Amino acid sequence: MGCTLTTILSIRNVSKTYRVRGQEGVLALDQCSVDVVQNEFSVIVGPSGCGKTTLLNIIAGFDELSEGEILLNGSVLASPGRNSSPGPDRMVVFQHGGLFPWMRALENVCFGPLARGQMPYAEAREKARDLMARVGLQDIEDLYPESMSSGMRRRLEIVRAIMGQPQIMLMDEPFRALDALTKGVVQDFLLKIFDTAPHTIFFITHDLIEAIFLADKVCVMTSRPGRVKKMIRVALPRPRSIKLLNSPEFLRLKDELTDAIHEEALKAFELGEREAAR
Amino acid sequence: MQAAPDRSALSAERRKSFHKSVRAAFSVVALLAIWTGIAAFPWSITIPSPLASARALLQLEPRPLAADILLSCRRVGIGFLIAAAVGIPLGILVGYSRWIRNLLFPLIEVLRPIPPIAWIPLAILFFPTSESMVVFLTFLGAFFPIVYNTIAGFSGIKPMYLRAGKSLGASEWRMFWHVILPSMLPVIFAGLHVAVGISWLMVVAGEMMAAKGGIGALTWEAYQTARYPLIFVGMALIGIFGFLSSFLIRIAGNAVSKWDAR
Repeated sequence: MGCTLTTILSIRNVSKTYRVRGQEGVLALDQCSVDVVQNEFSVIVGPSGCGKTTLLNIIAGFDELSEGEILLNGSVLASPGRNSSPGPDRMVVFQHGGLFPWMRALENVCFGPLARGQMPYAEAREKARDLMARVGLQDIEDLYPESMSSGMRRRLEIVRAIMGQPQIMLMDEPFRALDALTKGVVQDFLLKIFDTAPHTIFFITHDLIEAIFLADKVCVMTSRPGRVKKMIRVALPRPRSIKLLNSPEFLRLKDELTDAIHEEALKAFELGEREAAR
Repeated sequence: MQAAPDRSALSAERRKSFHKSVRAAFSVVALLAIWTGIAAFPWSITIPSPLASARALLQLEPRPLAADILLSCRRVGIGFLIAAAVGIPLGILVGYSRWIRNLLFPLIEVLRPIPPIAWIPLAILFFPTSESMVVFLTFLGAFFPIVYNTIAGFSGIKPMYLRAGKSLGASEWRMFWHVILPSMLPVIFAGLHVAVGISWLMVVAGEMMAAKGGIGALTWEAYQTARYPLIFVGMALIGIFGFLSSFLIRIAGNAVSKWDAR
């Protein structure tokens, strides 16, 4: 591969209109274009309601697009009237946690590879144990998600997602519900995974600090209808540590990002006020 | 990390469960005491005391008594198992197929509000033997809560789990056995729990009205032959076996859904 940039996922002029019966459609996404490059950590930030999750759902195959197309490795994944079906090449880490509560930790992690017959059970178990150990989850393989802390659950779900070596990981505000301390810990583990083995990540958040801390590239989306407003490269060195948060470069990026998004957040807020007043 | 419970936590746990059993025992003793008090009051009819009822139980021939108990249990068991065997798959089909849902759901909705007891006259007319009639009644009592809860369990599956399963590459078949069914089981078992109670209600009603033998018939005959202490014996037996069947279902439910054990 060397240092050639391979585009894994190409989102081209994607629009999404929600049809509501008896009303004109609501435009959720407007001509969105993003390229996700192999082994790159791409983060999408935008105000709430801007269509970030809609975009992710379209890529994952949970929703369909109205216009434009999405290519995965150069071939069409989704176009109007032809939505993609969910699959292990695009693993999703869910906002509200998608671990199966009826499976123990190890069963959850091994589910995907066993479901696809990708590897025999013994191999899946070894791999799962190895990955779990890397994110500090070595002693919990028999626990049900219910008896884990929220931070453990998030880490486990990430492990479950990377078990099958997806082409791209889709992460939908995965750390949203975590308290600040736990969030920091889980972010560190995610970066550790990212640094030790190459992964292509498409990560959604509305937390600017999180965005810069994790990303190679941050795409700012406008308020609804969501459009890509700005793309910011984050050239901070890796591996990254929490100390980086006070470096001048980090603060400069944060400023730049804040400027870009503050306007949109205001617009989103006003839009919300107007709709509430109607 | 999960810390092992230390000694003091363990003994606190024990003390808690001890207190719980003391409270449970207290309520039973209080019921017996109130009952004794009421029975001791000079009413115009004699009300058998707990002691008199216990004596009546001991005076019963053990063999016919056991036969009556077994008979009722068997009637409940058969009707309940048929209801589960038909109701759970039917509920799942209604969940899976819009076509079957449109066909059957209105029917279920119309039939469900009819109290199962209202079916007794029809059942007596229709079934050739009283045995099949009673089994039909226990089946009927259990059937609707089972179907209904299975449908509710299906529609209550969080879409996220279905999405996660598909993303992980599970086939339809694996989705059903490893995602859909496990997530439904607690709701199905809640239905089974309600259902077995109604089965007991129906067996007692059927036995009192038309069937030969069983705890319901025993209780009704005790009334007709003016052996009043036996009425209480019959009631207590129904209570005990009703409780035991609920208990068994809870154990089974906890065994299949360890993650949701209560």
